[in-house]
Amino acid sequence: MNVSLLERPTPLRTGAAVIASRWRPTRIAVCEAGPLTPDRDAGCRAVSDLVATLSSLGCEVFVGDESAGSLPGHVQRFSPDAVVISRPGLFARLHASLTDIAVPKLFFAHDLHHVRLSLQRAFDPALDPRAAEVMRLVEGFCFRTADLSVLPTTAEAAAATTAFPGAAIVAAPYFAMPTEPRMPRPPGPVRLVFVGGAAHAPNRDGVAWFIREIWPTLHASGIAQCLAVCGAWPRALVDSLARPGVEFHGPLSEPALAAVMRSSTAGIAPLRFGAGLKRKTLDYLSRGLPVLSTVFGVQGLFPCGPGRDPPGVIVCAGPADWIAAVRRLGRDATAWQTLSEAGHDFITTEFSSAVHRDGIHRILQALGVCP
Amino acid sequence: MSIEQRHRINTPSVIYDRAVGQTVVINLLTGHYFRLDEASSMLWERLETAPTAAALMASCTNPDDLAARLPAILNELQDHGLVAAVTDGTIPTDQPPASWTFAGFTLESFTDLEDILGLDPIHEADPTAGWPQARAA
Repeated sequence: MNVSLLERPTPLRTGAAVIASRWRPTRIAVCEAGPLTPDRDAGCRAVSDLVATLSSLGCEVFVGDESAGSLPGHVQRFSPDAVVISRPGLFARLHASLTDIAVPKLFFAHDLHHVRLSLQRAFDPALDPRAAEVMRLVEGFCFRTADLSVLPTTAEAAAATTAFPGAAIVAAPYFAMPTEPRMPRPPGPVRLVFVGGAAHAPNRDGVAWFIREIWPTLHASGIAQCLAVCGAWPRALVDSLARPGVEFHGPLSEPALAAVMRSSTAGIAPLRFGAGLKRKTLDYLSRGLPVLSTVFGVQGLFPCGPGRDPPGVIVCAGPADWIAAVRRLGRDATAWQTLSEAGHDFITTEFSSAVHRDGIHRILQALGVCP
Repeated sequence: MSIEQRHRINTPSVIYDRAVGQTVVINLLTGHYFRLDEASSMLWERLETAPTAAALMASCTNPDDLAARLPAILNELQDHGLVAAVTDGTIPTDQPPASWTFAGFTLESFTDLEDILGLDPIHEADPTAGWPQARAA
């Protein structure tokens, strides 16, 4: 991978070298607030995918980590042609330090945080009521200040454009999903899987809600045997959510996660609030696993509604929907097969590396820094 | 404080938004968040043009009331990093502030949203090793 963590080389002085330097690769500085942990966090996965795709397009990429210190200086020495800043907090902090670098700044927004915080408040009374207001102000600053902002869904890009007039905001693919072989339906009783850690509030709320409100009926009536929760969950939460048939696996390596997925009948995304594209949903579908989800778990995939579920997905509302959907997948092998194939085909078509590369290339064109 | 000293809002590290009856101000570098009520917002708005203290008082219908409080107010705003003395002569405009009446100044300061501004709320800190790993104090 053509990722540079080095400072800019000493400027070349000879005539030939000067000509060569005009043909140097496009340099993109990608800034994050902390070290990249793509196995733990979908946002980091999106940044990792961005870095990989930029490199595949021939860019020289500097990945900067604010928590390591001196990020503005590192960016300046790299002498980038454009700077990508991930997440609103970092953009807001870093922008003032980069005003001297006269290159386009791209805000890699991930989602509309203030919308998610507003929705979260309905389920989490402990959340400070001012949080959404403050975040909206910060995001407004980011969207208006950036030369270009990128969101992962067209709906959010449209909403942000309306909310922050004058800002240049586009939607582009955030994830390049690996091509996974489609898995066969596992034999035996229904097993469900959820991928995601408790650090993300929608995951924490959604899994707790599912385990408390839906799982007891599914398990007691024999509709489903096991729910595997994969990701980092603190011990206190695991203890409070312990129920027969519920297994907390903790963070898993890719092979271990693949094994859990292979043994599962469906992936679930029981999120009651949220924003942005959910990589967990894409991940289930990419392996041919049918998905049971709330509308929040499939945001950005398609406009969905009654009878218009995204390919491979059954969108569920209340507990009765969930129970009926799990029962159907357990009993109807044909329905399972149809969903599995549709979801797998959808990811292969819409979230491939090629689609991601095209999207990133269009962003570079919009910034005027095409390799 | 010299009455010819200009003070400006400390952009770009300070952002603010005027809403009905209040102004919300955020220092992006500290993550601190402030509220100004309607009366206090009057003074804040006039700092947008980086006026001198003399110009602020000249535009005020009750300059004696303002003069008694202005040095302390500007000090408080500077202490929070919200305004800065203009030292390089750069000013947004030479227009005098619009006429106004000083009706008091209260800066409500909140530091309890620092985490929301400082870290990324989409990926709150994992208790063990998850994202984002907050800097050690």
